[in-house]
Amino acid sequence: MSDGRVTGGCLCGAVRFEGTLSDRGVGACYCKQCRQFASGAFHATRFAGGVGLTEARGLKWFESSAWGKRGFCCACGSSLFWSMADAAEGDWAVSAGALDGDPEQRFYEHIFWDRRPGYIDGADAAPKVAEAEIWAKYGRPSAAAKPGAASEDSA
Amino acid sequence: MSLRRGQCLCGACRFEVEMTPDDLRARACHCQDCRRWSGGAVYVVGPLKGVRWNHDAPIELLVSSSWAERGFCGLCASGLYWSSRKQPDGAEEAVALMVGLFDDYADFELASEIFVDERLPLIPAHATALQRTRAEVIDRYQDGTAYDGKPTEDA
Repeated sequence: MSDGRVTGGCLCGAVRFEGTLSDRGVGACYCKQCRQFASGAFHATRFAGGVGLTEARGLKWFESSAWGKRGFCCACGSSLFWSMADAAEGDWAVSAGALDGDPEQRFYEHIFWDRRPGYIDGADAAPKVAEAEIWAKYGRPSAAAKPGAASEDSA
Repeated sequence: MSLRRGQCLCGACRFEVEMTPDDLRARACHCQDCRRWSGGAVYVVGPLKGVRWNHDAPIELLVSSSWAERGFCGLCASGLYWSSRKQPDGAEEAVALMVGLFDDYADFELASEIFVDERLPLIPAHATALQRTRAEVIDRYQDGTAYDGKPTEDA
């Protein structure tokens, strides 16, 4: 889709959305929470103008830390969105694998790189950012919002 | 054998399992279902027998095809496992556990990738992992050999 308009959704169709891809590409996160949530890494892409929900009956959010929350389909368990806790409606990172078709995106960065599983080799040229650099840049949250969500690396 | 533990993002689903050195060989599935469910690829170890969950784990089951079901946490939607629906009657269920859940995963290696023709183009093929297309995977299961839940090299 040359104009950047894309659609996407969960595995069962109880969450569907649309929007216009930003030209930034995909940021991969390997923090512990993203590994748990998405089975390996969270591949985050952004929509210019935000995410427009066209089917929201399955959408639920989990407050995964004091500053972040994660959107998923409660009917099929697909991992869909990451959001700052106080973000505006639709201002969410979208899981790249949930998009329909192949928007031919590329990585622009890999964060929590030192937390990745050993078999991720990162052959692409995108910058690799370690956990300590993330905390130095944004400040480490003091406490997790939910019991059990606190971990050595969490976002 | 080594005892490994892990949990979902919110901590409501926790497991422990004994693993042999051979069980540390992880596999990635890039099929369209796994891609949409996880937002990238599903990375698993197993199938493993003897996985022990906490008794009150809020595990939800998604029957995603005639031959597969997927377990996920009902509270935070972390993917927990993939399981064949064609396991022998009376046998203890063997499930493929998501790599991202493990507390300790540094010694996992990626042995094979399947449904590679459906991979998110973003995610490069691992240099040393066996690569199998959808047709090659389906062929292996239509040769009259029933899936027996045992770890195999590449399926």
